[in-house]
Amino acid sequence: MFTKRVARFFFAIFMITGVLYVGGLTTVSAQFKSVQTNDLNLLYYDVGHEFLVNHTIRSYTNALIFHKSLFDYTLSEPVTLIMQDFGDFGNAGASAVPRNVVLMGIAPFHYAFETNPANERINVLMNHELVHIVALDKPSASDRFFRKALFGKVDPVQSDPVSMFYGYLTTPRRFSPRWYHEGIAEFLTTWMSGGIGRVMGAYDEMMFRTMVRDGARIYDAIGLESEGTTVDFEVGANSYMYGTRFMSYLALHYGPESLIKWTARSDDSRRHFSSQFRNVYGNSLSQVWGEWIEWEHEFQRENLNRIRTNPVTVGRPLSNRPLGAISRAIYDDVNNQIYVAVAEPGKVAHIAIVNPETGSMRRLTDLEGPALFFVSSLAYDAQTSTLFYTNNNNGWRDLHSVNVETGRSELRIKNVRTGDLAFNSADNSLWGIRHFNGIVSVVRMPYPYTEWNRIHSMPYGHDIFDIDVSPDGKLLTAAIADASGNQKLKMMQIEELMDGVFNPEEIFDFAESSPAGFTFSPDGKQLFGSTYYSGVSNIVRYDIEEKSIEWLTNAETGLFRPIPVWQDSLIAFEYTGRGFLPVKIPNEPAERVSAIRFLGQEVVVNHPVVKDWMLPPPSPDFVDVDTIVHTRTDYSPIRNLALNSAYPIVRGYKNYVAGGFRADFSDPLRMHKMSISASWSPHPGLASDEHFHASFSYELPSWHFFANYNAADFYDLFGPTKRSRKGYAIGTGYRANLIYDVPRVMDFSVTTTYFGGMERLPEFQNIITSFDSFISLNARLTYQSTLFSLGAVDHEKGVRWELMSSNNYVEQTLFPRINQNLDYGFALPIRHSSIWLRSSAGISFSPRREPLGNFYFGGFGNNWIDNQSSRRYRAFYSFPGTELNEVAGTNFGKLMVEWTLPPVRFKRAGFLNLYANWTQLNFFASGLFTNIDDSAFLERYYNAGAQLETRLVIFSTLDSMFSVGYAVARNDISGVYSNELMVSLRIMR
Amino acid sequence: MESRIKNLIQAEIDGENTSQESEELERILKTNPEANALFKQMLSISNRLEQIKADIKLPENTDFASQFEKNVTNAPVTYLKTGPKQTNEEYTMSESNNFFKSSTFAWVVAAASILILVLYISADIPQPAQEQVVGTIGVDRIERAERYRATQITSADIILDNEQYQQVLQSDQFQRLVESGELQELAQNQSFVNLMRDPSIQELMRNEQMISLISDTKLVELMREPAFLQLMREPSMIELMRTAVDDRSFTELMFSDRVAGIIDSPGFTNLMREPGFISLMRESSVNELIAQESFVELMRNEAFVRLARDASFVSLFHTSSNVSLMRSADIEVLERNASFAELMRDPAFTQLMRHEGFIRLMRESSFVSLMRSPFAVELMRDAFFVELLREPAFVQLMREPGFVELMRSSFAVELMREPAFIALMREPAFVSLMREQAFVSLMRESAFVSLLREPSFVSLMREPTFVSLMRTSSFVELMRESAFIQLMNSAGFHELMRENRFATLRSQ
Repeated sequence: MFTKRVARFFFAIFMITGVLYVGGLTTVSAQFKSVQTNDLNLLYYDVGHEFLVNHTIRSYTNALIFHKSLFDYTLSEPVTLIMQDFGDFGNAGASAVPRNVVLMGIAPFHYAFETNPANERINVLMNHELVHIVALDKPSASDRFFRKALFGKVDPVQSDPVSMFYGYLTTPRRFSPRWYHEGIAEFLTTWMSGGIGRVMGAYDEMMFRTMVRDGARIYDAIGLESEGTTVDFEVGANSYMYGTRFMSYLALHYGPESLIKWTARSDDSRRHFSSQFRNVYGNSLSQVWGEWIEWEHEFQRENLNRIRTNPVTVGRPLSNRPLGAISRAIYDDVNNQIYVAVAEPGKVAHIAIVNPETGSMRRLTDLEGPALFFVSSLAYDAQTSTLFYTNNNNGWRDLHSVNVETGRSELRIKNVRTGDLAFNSADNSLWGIRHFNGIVSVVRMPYPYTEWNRIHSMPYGHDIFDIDVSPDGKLLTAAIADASGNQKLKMMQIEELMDGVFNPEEIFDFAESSPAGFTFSPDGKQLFGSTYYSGVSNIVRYDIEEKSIEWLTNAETGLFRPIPVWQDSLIAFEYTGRGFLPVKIPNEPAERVSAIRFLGQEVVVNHPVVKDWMLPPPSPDFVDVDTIVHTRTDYSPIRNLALNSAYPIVRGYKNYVAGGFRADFSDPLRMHKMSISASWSPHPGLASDEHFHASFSYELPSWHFFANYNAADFYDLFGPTKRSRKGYAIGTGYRANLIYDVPRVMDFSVTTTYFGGMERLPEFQNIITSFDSFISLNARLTYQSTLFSLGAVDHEKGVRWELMSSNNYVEQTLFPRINQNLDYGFALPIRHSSIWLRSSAGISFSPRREPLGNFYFGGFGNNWIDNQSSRRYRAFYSFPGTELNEVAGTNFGKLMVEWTLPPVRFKRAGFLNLYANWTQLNFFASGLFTNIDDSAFLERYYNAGAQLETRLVIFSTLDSMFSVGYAVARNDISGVYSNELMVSLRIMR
Repeated sequence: MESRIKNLIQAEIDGENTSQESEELERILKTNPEANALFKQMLSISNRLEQIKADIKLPENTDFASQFEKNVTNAPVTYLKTGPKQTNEEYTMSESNNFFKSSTFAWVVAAASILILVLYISADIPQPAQEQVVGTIGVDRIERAERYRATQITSADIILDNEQYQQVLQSDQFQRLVESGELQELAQNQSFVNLMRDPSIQELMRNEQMISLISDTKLVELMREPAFLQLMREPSMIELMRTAVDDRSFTELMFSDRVAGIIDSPGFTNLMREPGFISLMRESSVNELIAQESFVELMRNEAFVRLARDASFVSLFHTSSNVSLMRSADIEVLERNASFAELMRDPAFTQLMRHEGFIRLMRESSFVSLMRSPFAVELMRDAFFVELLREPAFVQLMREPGFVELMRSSFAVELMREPAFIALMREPAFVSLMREQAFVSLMRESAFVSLLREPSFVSLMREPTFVSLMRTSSFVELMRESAFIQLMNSAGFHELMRENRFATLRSQ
């Protein structure tokens, strides 16, 4: 019997693998092209990106040569580099586990507030991402030993949490905070680019100068991770800014080489990043971090004193509070109001109308997909009171418009990929900057703004941004940056542009400083913008006729995005720790403006060795692509499928422990993933055919195949919920995105499974079956459109709808069930607090006596140690306060109201290896009716409860959730009360 | 001039180049006159500055910049007196400052001028040594922050592959094409994909002229034509592209407006499947043809498409005369002729066009001229015309303008239907007669047809005397007389024609 079942199991695996092999070859292989050198496997999917391939190889190789030398690094395997154009702004990410992979977006960077360098970006990205690869991948002797023993670098998986420890043994530096990785990457990138980068960043100087001026808290290493990257409007960017600042401080005081010793893994280095810190610097990380904060205060006080040697510009605030991150703002002189897109913690991003007289604000319309720094692009047609704006600013932007009188918004062009909008009132056209295939184009959108026309495409490496059109519609100004990072303010004749002539006239060369947000005065005779020329962002005025430039302000923090509203004064936005504050400033030249000192300048003056870290240009003179590329071919996931790692596991089967082995395979792109595990439960209490357990899964982007035999589960070792089952199952599933227009997402999935040798229902552990085999077919259709604000821990408003169908076929009888869930939530005026109404209803078309014909409800559903959603009480089958599966029915209706309270964030709660981020309390109350159609079987339950969630971080990167819940339930028919206390730790996200 | 070259020049002057960079610059200077000129200019300036420096004794304090600032910007306002009387009178900026001694002031002014010139020339050099520009007083009263920045890479260091194509890909027309899904369909055509991978095509795609063609927005518009996309899926078209890589005129043709005008014709895609037509397309003469609007119109004609499938038709285009025909404005006349259009649809005509004789005929310019005749259509549609085509003499006759002139008349059709006409045509005398206007006029007479039907007429044509008789103006009258016909058929008349005496008599 046992042999027969095992044989069936492996036969199924064989069949599935065969199907996959054919499917993999025919469906996926043609999508990606692969260009290979000994050190690189570059993948791209679009012929339109091909023009960048060789340049990318040169930039990569150039950077790798440097890192190999600086870190004494030997690449353990070629890096898989994926070129993509999934978003309108350039970015990249790197991982070394289980394989070395870099995902690189080829789009131009955004330059809002000068938060990104303007020099050639692929060079910059390669320099930066390869630091991550080295910092993650470089092994010590012990790392190499464990990588050999475990057949590779172990990627922790939720289903077998023991993999976390193997991960730490094979790639320990992966378990370091983000500021550590980004800090060293930004530090080195700056010097590899010859001084262009965050170390020399004016925005970073402004941020820390402002914190010192305002007496704001500069976080310690734990507080930064637990609170600092979530509470202010810069959120995750704080990891970059703090990390770079701390690394720069260390370089200044201990030498840049000390950073290499700290971040490079070597045979004599310590496994944990903080232990290695002490090893290098002789003090604890916390202590030196504290010293840095003290030094930073002194450094910034000196800078503030420099600024204050001249009269400081003090603006009159025009709103009651800072607005968070802001877009370009527009002044409507007819209605005397300012339109600006804002994103701040605790509020869903939106376009706000600010009354400059009273400082009051009101919401015009919500924004979907706000960008971190520039939020959205705005332009205004005063004649029709139409405000144009962009949504999905982190992906492919869409053009929308909203009437400021009625608030009615409208989608104009989907995926227009255009921003930096400017309205030309002379011909009612809308101008913008389009990003596509890594190229920047000036485009024009004529009325009714449903299509665009390309006016001019810039050569690669040249960017154009922050455009404005003169009131008479004859001139267009823009900031233009070249591959060297030079940025100039230029002006073009619109008539010439329309004739295909691109001949911009240079207005002013701001060198490495960006000419930001230049806009015409209402009479078209002057331009107002900002620049970090002195190191502080100040407002400048350019007289077009006189061709003269004047500095209007001497700001302590920074002034941006001026709006020339009045003859004698203008509106600008002042940087504060809580975002940008609209202020009114005089339209008069400043007496004098003093420059500040940059930390990066101190580093290079005191440690000129960093000058030697600049790379040679990635030109063919240095890297000959033709000699290093050995293969150009189609990418086939199945041919690249390889063993990632294999390691011992422990699992639970019923109430017994099982030990075994797990092996994970994937291709570098992870389009195909395969996992095989086998374990054995030696306990004599088990039947002879229940000692052996095995599972197999194979995942494709849309399809997945699986098989289990006496399925075991790690989490069955803890708690009441059991997912291990006797018997075997073999199945396949398909999933697809019907809509993917974030935040609107609609998914469809269907899974069919054959179960054999079963003794309990797979879904409901307490329901014993009278049959041992059946076929199930489950389908699910989900639609979701939910929003959340910066710093949120959960979705805060929106709608979620789900339709599910479960069909079981047993002994020639079909048991169909169908149910749907509908959730609706809205944000409260309290930050990060919402009310959600959650409803469910379902019906089964089978006799009530049949186990498969019923829905079952009960309990929180969390295990003591768990890997599923911690807020399981929201699931339709959950009913806290009752026993698991206690309530049954062939039809049901359920309604829940939930109040999520604002999370409490911890500035410091724990240690570097284990700390708490936040805790949040949620209250809920629900009513459940089953068997509504028959009063004889009617069940009526009510409950009320609360759940306290605490986010824990283990080893800097492994998020976990500790949950405590309590609920009381009442059976309204019998009048019996019951209660339940739930304690659970969900491991990993 | 590339920024990198400018940087190299400046670094060379400053002595900052490595030996490799110096060698590279030397190579550039040999081949780039503009660079060479700039180098010489800057070298000259540099040398002059060196000379000036040697004449000026600098103060012990080597902080020249700060001294200069202190002395120039903060000193009392001074001026230089001018005029003959003050030639030797100089006022220094600061009497207490030893640096600006009277003996060196003129040199300083000169040096400052040259310095300004150097700065002016260097203004567009992207990254002069950065350490030298930071920390100085910037615009007006604004202090510029010191931010170290090394010499940066320039656009010249970024070598991309076929970036020019982005000009096409970025256009709104192309994007709409992509969004329509047609391009994706094309990209899935294995033949097309193979074509694009072909080294020869890739070579072609690297050609600047080709890039320039492809970058033209007209191509983008062309690519939006479903028919063009369909065409590009045809293996024969792909084969054509592959083999015609080196033919620039062909590639220009393929992306011309003319082709854009043809491709949406229903039969054109079918035509592209015909090896014969593909062969035709390779003819350089056809390229000239396609430049003609009239020919383009013709290619829209389905019948023409049918015709063009024939190898023999294709061979027509090997001769310039036919090409000339197609290029001529006459083809437009034909096109507008309803009968011709009908003719083109007639299978018999298609058959005729394949006839070897017709092809020979088509090479005759006179026949081409004849094609302009409204009756030519009727003529060519007639079955007997095929018979005529078999006669080499017919072709010979077609070289005679008189015959061609005759053919233009409706009468010619009737005449040529006469079986005896072929026999007549074979007579050498007939050919010579056709050169005479009088005879041609004679043939236009209806009586001539009757004459032609007489069995003895053709044999009489062999008699020079008879031929001479026919040349007389009175022959027309004679021809109309039934008695003359009877006489002509008599044996005695034949004898008479052979008599020299008759000839003498007639001439008297």
